[in-house]
This record gives sequence, structure tokens and C-alpha cells, in this order.
Amino acid sequence: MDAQLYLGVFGNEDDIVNATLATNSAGYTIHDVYTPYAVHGLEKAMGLKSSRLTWACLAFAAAGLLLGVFAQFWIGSIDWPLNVGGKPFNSLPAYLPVIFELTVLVGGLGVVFSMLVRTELYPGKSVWLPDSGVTNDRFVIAVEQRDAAFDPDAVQRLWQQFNLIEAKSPAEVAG
Amino acid sequence: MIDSIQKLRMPASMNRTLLFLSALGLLTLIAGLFVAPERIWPNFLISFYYLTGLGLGAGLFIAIQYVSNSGWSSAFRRIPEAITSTLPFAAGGALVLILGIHTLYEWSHESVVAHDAILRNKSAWLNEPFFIARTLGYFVLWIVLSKVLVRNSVKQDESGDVLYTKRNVRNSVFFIILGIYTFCLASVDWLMSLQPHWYSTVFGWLNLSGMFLSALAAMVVVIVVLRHIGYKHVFTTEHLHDLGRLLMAFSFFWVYMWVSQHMLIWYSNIPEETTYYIFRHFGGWGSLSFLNVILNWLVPFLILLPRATKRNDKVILQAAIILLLGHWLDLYVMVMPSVFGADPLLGIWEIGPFVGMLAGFFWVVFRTLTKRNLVPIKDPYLVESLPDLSHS
Repeated sequence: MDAQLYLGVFGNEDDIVNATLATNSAGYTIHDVYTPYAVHGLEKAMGLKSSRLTWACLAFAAAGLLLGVFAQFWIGSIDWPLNVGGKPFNSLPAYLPVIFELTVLVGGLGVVFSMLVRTELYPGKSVWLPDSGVTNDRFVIAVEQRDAAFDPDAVQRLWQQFNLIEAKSPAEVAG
Repeated sequence: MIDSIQKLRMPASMNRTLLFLSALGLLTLIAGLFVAPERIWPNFLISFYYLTGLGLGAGLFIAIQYVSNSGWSSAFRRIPEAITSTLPFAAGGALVLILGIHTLYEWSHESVVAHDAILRNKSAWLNEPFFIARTLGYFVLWIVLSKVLVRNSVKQDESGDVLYTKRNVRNSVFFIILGIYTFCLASVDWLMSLQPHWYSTVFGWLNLSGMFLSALAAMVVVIVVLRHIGYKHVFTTEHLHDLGRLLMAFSFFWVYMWVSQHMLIWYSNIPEETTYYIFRHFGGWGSLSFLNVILNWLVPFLILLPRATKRNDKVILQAAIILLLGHWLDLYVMVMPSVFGADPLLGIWEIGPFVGMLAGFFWVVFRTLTKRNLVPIKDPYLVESLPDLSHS
């Protein structure tokens, strides 16, 4: 964590979205927004770019597809050719179900694990909470204090339009 | 805000074009009955079945939304509701179909059945009176089921009573169970019995997926047209995006069912079953079977895969039109080789009835939309579907 954080605690879904929108358009650098549940419209308010997970999913799915094609081709026609009902050793229609399942399986698992890796969610990970209420009924926005020009009072005034409960510096530094 | 949504007025040019095209289709049909009956009857069957599937598929869509307590779709529910109003016209088509039984269905000739042990054994199901009774029974059931759903929804516009939604949830359960079961039976009756020796246990589901897909595509077309007329604030990009996802999913579901039927018959290679695909695997029919999969799955799948294309009116409209044409081709390959053994033909007798049917379909749909509120204004879920218009 390079920059010091400054936190605003809110008690309502609409307030956090509006406050985030205002903070973002006022030009502050939003470190993150913490909510007890997924809030619709928040990622737009934060100005997040669209996720690249879809591309990971596409890549994994394509890998699964190739695996399905190649594995069956290699097993069925090269390594251990078996005559099944007089079909040619290498018959694509018979491969389709397994190709389909492997595409879905590898694509699905791949995208889940990509997400876990990218968001650093793993067993034993220690979690930093900006405010103990974010697991219950509090919504917290964290902005970065990038330079000396950062004025906590100005931020607090901005937030007060949206029923701010409390503005504070975090007790411990974010990890 | 919701009350400020204007009622739809059909543009005069659209009204004229659609009426003209459907009249032209009707004329082709009547002329064909005299000039080329053996070719017009299967084409009539295709168009009739297509129209039935559109109406019933839309009803099924509404029922699924009710049963799953869906909020996202309630803003545009009037569109599938309007599509179900084409079912009585399809019922009219069923009456005409009865006249063509002898041209279309081999099993309806007693002289053929007398010399055919298989058909004799099937005659308890495949006989003329029972066939007619079933055909009419299906339509009575479908029209009643869909009218009940639509009536409750329209009534809710006045009182806003949640009871109507609750009743429709219960009615939708019946719609889903009875509708799906009878549609599978109807597919077997109308299409599979064209080749009465042949059978496929997945035939009903294959056609169910096709008909639901075509109904979704028709809904996309109507929404894009309405957005073009000036209802972008009512039928939002989010609605289009979600419908686009369903369209892609059901395109995949269709090909899944198609492969399920095709691959298992190919794999087991039993003569009773392969008769169906022998026709459709070689020559012109082989190319059309191939094109069928490309139009109904590969092209829409590739078009609709990225997020941006599902949110773009023009692109999603193209995908929907490809799917509507693809569904016709699907039925064409299913029906024609059984009745009309020769090579595939594409002429006025194929194009006329189909274009006329589609034009008439869209005319009825838009006409029905002008008569009601364009949005179910007091639906309890409308807040979820149209948050921007519902607040304030």
C-alpha cells in the first residue's frame, strides 16, 4: 500500500452509489468501495473498466475444445484404435459430446480459478476490513491521499451531501 | 413517468407493406392449391407450423417469466403477449390443414395402411378422426391458456392488484406443463408422421427448442423496430442485451438437440432410424442440412458472443433475422424430403406462403400492440425492469 487512505462510511445503498459517483467525478482516486453485498451500478460509478475475465473464459474454453478434439483423436486413432460399430477410427461426430463437455468444463473451471487468482482469494488469506460494519450494514468508500494537496475536509464536505455517517483515516494500514 | 409512455401507432407505410405482403402470400397459397397442390401443401404445413410455434413460444416465454418471478422482462411483456394473439390465426390454419391430410400424410390412406403392418399397428394413434380431434384440441388448449395469461395482465393495468400476478403464476405452471407436452405431441403428429415408419424420441424437444428460438428472434425483431420508432427509453439496451443472451443460449440449445438426434441415429446406425437421414444427407438436401446448422447456430453464436453486439440494434436484428430464416430452413429440411421426394426447390410456392405468413404475423402483432398499453403499467415487477422510469 503506497498511499494513505481516507474512508467515508455510509449506511445506504443509494448513498454509496451517489457518493462514489460524485467522488469519482470530483477527480479523487478511489482505492476501493466496500459493501456487504453486490451493489448494482457501483462498478459504473467507480469508473471500472469492463472485466477481462471473459477473455480468460474464451481462452480456457478454446483450450478445452482443442483438448477434446486432440485427446480423442490421439486415443481413438493413434494410440489404441478400436473398431466401434464399423465406424472410422477418426470420426468427428462421435467426438462431439466429449468435446462439448470438455469445452464447458475447462472454460467454467478456468474462469473461476482465474478470478480467484486475480482477486487473490485463497484459503488462509487475511482480510483487511476498513470498518467492521462492511460485513453487516455499512458501505465504505476508500479514497487515496495521493499528495499534499489532498484536503480531508473538502472530501468530507462532498460526502456529507449523501448522509455520511463517519469520515476517518483507517486504524491500520491496508494490506 | 410510466403514464407518459405513448400508445403505439403503427406507421402507415409499415401497415400497408405488411398487409400487401400477407395478401400476396395468401394469393400464392390459393393459386398454388390449384396449380401445384403437391408442392404447396408441404409449404403450407411449414408456414402453419412456424406460425403456431411463434405464438406458443411467446406464451411459453411469458409463463416462464411468471413462474420464475422474473422482473427483468416485465417492461416488454406486452410484446410476447401480442405475439400470442396470432394463435387463433394459426388455429384457422389448422382447419385448412385438415383439408390437406390426404396429400400430406401417407397413413391417412386406408389402402396404404391395409398393406402395411407397421402403419396398421400405429393406426390407433394415426387415424384421421383422432388426428383432427387432437389438432383442434391442441389449439383450444393453447388459446385458452394464453388468453388467460394475457387477460389477467391487461386487467392489472387498471387496478394494479397483485392478485393478478399471483393467479398468473399458477396459470403459468399449467401452461408450461401442458404447453410443452402438447407441443411435443403436435410436432409428432404434424411433422414426424410425414414419414410414419420413422421415429425419434427427441423429436419433440428438437422442435420445442426451434420454436422457442424463433419466438425469441421474433421478439427481438419487434423490440428493435419499436426502439427505432422511438421507444428507446422504454425498451432499453439492457432489455435487448438480456434477450440477446437468451437468443444465443437457445441457439445453442437448438444445436444441442439437433446433434442429440442426428448423432445418436448416425451412431447406432439402425435402418428404421436412418431412413430419415438418408434423404437428408446427400445431394442438395445434404448441403441444406449443413446450412441449417450454420444458420441456426454457428453464425448467430459467433455474432452474439461478444457483449457489444448484443447491445447493438442493427447487429442483433441481423442475428434475429438469420435465425428466423434458419428456422424456416430447419422446417423445410424436415418436411419437404418426406412429402416431395425430389431435389430441393426454391420458387414462388416456397417463398410466397412463408413471406405472407411472416408479414401477416408482424401485422397482427403490431396491430395488437396498438390496442393496449405498450407496457404493463401497474405490474409489481416493473420497478425492476424499468428503474429509471419508475422512480420519480
